[in-house]
Amino acid sequence: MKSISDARPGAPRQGAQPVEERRDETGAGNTGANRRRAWTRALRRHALPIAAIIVIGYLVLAPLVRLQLLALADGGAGYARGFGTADIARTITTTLLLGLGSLVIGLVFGAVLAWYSIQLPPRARWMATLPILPIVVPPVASMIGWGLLLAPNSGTINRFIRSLPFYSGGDTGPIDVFTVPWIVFLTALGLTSFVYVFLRAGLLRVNYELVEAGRTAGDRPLGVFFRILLPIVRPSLIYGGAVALLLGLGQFTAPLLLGTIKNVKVLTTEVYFFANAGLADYGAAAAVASPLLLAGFGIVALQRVLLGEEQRFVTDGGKTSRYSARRNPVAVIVIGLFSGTVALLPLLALIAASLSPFWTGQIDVSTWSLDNFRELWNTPSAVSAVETSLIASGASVLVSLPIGYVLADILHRRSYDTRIRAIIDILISLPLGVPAVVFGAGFLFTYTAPPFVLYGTPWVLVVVYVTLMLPFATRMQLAARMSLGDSYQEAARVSGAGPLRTHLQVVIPMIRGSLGGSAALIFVLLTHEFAASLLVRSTRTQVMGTTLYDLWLNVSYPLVAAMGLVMCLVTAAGVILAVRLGGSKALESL
Amino acid sequence: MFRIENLTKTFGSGAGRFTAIDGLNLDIREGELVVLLGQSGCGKTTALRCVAGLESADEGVISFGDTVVFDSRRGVDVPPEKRDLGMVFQSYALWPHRTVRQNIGYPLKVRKLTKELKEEKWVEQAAELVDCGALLDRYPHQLSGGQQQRVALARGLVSRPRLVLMDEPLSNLDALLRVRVRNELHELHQRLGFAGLYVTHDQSEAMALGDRVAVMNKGRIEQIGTPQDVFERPETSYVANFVGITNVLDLAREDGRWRLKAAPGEPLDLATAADGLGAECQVRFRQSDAVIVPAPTAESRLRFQATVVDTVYVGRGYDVSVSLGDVRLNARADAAVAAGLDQGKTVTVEVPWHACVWYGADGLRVEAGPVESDLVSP
Repeated sequence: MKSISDARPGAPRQGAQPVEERRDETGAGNTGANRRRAWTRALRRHALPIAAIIVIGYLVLAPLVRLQLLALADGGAGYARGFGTADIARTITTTLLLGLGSLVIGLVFGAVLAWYSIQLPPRARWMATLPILPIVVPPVASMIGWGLLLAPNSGTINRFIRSLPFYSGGDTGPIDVFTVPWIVFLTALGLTSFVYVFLRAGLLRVNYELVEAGRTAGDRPLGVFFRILLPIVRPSLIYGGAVALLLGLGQFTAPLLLGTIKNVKVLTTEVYFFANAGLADYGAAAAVASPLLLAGFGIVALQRVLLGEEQRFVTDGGKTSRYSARRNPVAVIVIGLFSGTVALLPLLALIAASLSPFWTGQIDVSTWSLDNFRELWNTPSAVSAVETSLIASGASVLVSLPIGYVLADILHRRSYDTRIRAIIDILISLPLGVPAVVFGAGFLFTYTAPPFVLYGTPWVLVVVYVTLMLPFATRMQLAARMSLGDSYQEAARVSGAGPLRTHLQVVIPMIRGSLGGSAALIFVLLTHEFAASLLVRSTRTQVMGTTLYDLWLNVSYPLVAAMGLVMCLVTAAGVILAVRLGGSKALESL
Repeated sequence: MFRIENLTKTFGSGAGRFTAIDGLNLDIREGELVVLLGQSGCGKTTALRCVAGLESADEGVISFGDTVVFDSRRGVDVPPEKRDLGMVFQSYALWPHRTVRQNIGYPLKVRKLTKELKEEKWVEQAAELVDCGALLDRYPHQLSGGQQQRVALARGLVSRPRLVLMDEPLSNLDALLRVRVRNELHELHQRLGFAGLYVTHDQSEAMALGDRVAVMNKGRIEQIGTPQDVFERPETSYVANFVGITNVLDLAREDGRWRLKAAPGEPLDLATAADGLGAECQVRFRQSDAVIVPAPTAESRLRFQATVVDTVYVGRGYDVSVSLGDVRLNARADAAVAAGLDQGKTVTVEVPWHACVWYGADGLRVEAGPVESDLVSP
C-alpha cells in the first residue's frame, strides 16, 4: 500500500479562472452574465475530471450507499436485525480483539524486524525483503496451511508436541488454531509485514546524521532511539499501526476458515453470512458492516491529515542520507526465523498434504504422489476456476491500467481545481479503507438489481476487481509521473507534439517500467482475491479462492492443499513478473 | 591540547579495501581552530568522525588533554556522548520534531546541565550569539538555510564543549551567504576562543577561518601551517595545485642551461634557478602572476613565448589561455594588451621570480636562491 495521496493538495489554481475573476471586478455592470460564462468555461475545462468523478463515484459509492439505504429503510430495521442476534456482543468483542491484537503484535514485531533489517550486514541485505513474503502468499492458502499444522487433533505441530517424552496432556491440543487467541495471533503475524514495510521505509528515510548529532550532543544510544529516532519516524509508526488496526478489524479470511468450526464470529463473517444466507438479508449485512465502514473512512481521513504535517518530518539534508547503523549479525537470525516461520511453514504443510493420499497430520514420504494434482486436473470445476481467475484478473488488469492512467494524469495536473482532485483522491482511496467483504456485499446487491444486472456473468468479477484495484492502478502510476516530472512533457509540447502524441510517445514509454510493475502487482492481488469474490461468485463463475473454500468445507484436505499450491504458483509467477518489471519496489507497494 | 597520533582507518575488505586515513598525526591547541583541507575522499571527514567517536579507527591514539578517548592498543574507545563535544553537521542535522529551542537545549538537557539551562539561560545566549534569538519557537522546516546553519552552530556551541567539530558546515549555503556566515564564524571564534576542528574542501574557507590549515591527501597530512605558509609556500606539488598554483612547467638541465621539456627549442629566458635542483625540476606559478606583456621588460623574470588559444573577459582584465608545446597555461592580460590577442598569435609571458615556486623531481619544494641580475641572458 502506498500512501494515500502523493498529490500536492495545496496547489494554487492557475489558468483561466483567476483571469475571469478579475474581469468580474472590472465589469461591474453585467456581473451575473460574466459569472455564468466563467462557470461554463470552468465546467468545460474540467469535463474530464468531472466525468471521472461520475464513473468512479458510481463504482465506489453505489454499492456502499445502496447498502446503507437498505439498512436504514423501515426505520433502521436492518440495524435492528443485524445487531439483534444473541451473540452480537461477543462478535463485536472478537472483532475488536482481532483489530487491537493485530495492532499491538504487528507494531511490536514490525518494529523489531524493521530495526534489525537496517542492521543487516552488507552481504545479507537481500534478506530485508523476506519479511514481506507473507503478504505474497495468498492468505487463503496460508491460513489453510496453518490449519493443517495446528488443528487440535491432526495438526502436525500438535502431534509433534504430544509425541515429546515429557508431554502429559490428552489426545488433542495443546494448540487449538480454531480459537480466538490463535486466530488473532496468526492474523497479526500476517499483518506484521505491512507494519514492517512502513517502518523500514521510515527508518531508511532518516538522515543518519540526526542520530549522530544526538550522540555527539551527549546522549546515550537508547536515549537517541527514544528521543530522536522514534519521534522522527512517528508518521510511519502511526500509519503502519493504523493500517494494521484497519486490516485486523476487516480481517475475513482467517475468521471464516478457522473460526467457523468453533463458532468464532467477527463483523466481517456476519456480513458474509447475512448477505449469503438462503434469504439474503442485505439490510442486516449493511448494518453490521457500518462500524467497519466508519473505521475505513476514519483511516482515510487520518492519512490525509498525517500527510499534511509530513513536511515537518522531512529530514533530507544536503547529502543523501548514508545510513550507517552498526552491523548486527543477530539481525540475520531474527529476520530469517520470522520469515521462515511465517511464510515457509504453512507452505511446507501445503506441500506435504498435497502429496499425501489423505491427511492425518503425519508426514509419510513413502506414500507421496502427484495423484491429488491429477485429480484436480480432472475436476472440471477446479480447472474452470483457475481459468476464470486468470481471465478475470487479466481482463481487469487491461481495464484498470488505462483508468489508472487517466486518474493519475488528473491528479498530477495542477491546473485542475484542487477540490476536484481531492474528491477523486478520496474516492480512489476508499477501496483501501473499506473491507473487501463489505464491498462484496454491496456489489452483490448492486449488480443483481437494475440498472446493471451483471450477476452470474464473469463481467461482475471484472467490475468488482477494477473497483477494488483503483487505488493500486492509480497510485503506482502517479508515483511514476511525479518522479518523471513535467519537463519531458513540456519539451515534447514546445517541440510541436500535441497532448495525445506526448502521452503516447513520451510519457507512456518513459513510465513503462511502472506500468508493467503495476500490471503484475494488480494481477497478483486479484488472483489472491477471496472476500469479494466469495460474495459475487455464482455456480458458473468460481475463482481459485472460492473453489479452495468449498474444498475446505468438504474436508478434502489433500485436494485443498493441491489447489492452494496451484494458487501460490500462479502468484509466484506474478510476483516474479512484478519484480522483473517494476523492481523490488513493486513488492513494497503491495 | 588535543592530540591525534598515528591514526589509521580502513574500510571494506578484499578488493574493495580502501585506506581512508593512513598514519595521521595532528595537534590542536586550546583556543585554536584547525582546518582539515582536502579533496573529497582524502579522509578528512573520516578523521573528524574518528575524533567524534562516530567511527572507530583501526590504529592510533586520540587524547583530549590528559584523557585518552581512543587507543587501539589498550582497547579504549570512549563513546561520542562522553567526549564532551560539539558538532556541526553538513546537513545541519536539526531534529525536525523539535523546536529551535529544544534543538539548542538538547545538549544541555541530556548532559543534565539543568542550572545552565534554566537559570543561566545558555540556550538564549547561544541563540543570541548567532542572531537567532527570535527564532526559538519555530521548527527547523520554518527556517531558511542560513538560519538552520546558525541554529546548528548554536547547538554545537551551547554546552561550551571542549572541542567543536565542524563537517563542511557551509557547503549547503549559496555563495554570497557562505562568505557572510564564514566571516561571522571567524568573528565568533575570535570572541569565544573555542578549540575547533573544521573540515572543508574550499580553500578560501580554510584560509579565512584556520589558525592553522592542514592539507590532506590520501589519508595523510601533506602540509600543516598558517594559512600564509600554506598559501604562499606550499611544500609539495600537490598542495601547490590545491591552493591554486596551477600553472606547471617541467624543466630539464642540459649543458648547464635549463630547457622546457614541453618545448625544448623554445627560447627560455631563465636567469637562474636554485642550485639545489638536480637535473630536472618543476616550476609553478599562479595565473594572476603570469602576465602577457607587449614587449619583454628589462627586469629579470621567468619569461617565455607562447601561443594564444583563447581569451575570456573576467572584469578588470582578461584570462588568456596559451599553449607552449603541448602544455596549456593560464595567463592574464590587461585590456590594452588583450585587444590584439587573436587566436594563434605568439605572445611573451612573464612571471616575477618571487611568484615562482620550485619543486624537485620528488615533488618537494626547493628554496630558490636570489636572482642576480647580471646572469640574465638577452
